[in-house]
Amino acid sequence: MSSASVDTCFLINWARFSERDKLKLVFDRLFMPVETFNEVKSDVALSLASRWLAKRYLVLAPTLSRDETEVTEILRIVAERPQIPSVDPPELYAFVLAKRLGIPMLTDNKAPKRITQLLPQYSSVLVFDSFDVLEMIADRGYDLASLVDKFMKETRFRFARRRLEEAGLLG
Amino acid sequence: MKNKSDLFEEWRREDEEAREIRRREANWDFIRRQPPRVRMALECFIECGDLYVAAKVAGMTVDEFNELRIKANIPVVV
Repeated sequence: MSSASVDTCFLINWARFSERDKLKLVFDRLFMPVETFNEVKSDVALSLASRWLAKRYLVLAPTLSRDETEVTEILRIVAERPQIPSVDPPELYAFVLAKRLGIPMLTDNKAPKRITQLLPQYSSVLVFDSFDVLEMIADRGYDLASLVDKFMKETRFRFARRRLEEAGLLG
Repeated sequence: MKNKSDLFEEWRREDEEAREIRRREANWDFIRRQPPRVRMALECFIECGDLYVAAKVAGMTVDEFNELRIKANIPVVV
């Protein structure tokens, strides 16, 4: 089991998911940069964040000056490539933290995954979205179809047809 | 790594599928009843699927905008 870095979107999505504690089957600790945590505002997400912070399952991480430099550089690269969706600094701090600590990043935004697919210097950063994480939980003895169905209903998510087919969830 | 043109084509198809799902499932009556800035932000989210960008258009945090897109029945497509 490893730690992971999380961004705001992932936390707010999983805060709505009744099976959110199953995340602990896959990751033993979550790190979130302070800049990213500042984006968390809703009662639902703050309630989960405060419980996880109290148990040290979620840990706030400081941002280093070299992180700032790298975030600025990635923003420049993304601005030159319209195929990569726009990214905001709070999300990038989580991405850069994952790279610095050598841990995966959890996010439901497409940009970090696309950065790792396009830019060789970031290809070693593992980026997992909610579907990836649900598959990891299922690997520990849970039914993927039930998890996916519940997640989609409770968080208003849809997963792309290709991914459902690859996971054997479409006929 | 895949070559760039294959990768871009794959992303283009993914984005189009996601856009179609958001358009189809959105509660357009709810969206049309919103004040102009909020309506524009929801429409922006339907087109681009980017919570950060749409939240900026709405003048909200990502977290606040996420609550709004759920009320508007617009899914996040991954």
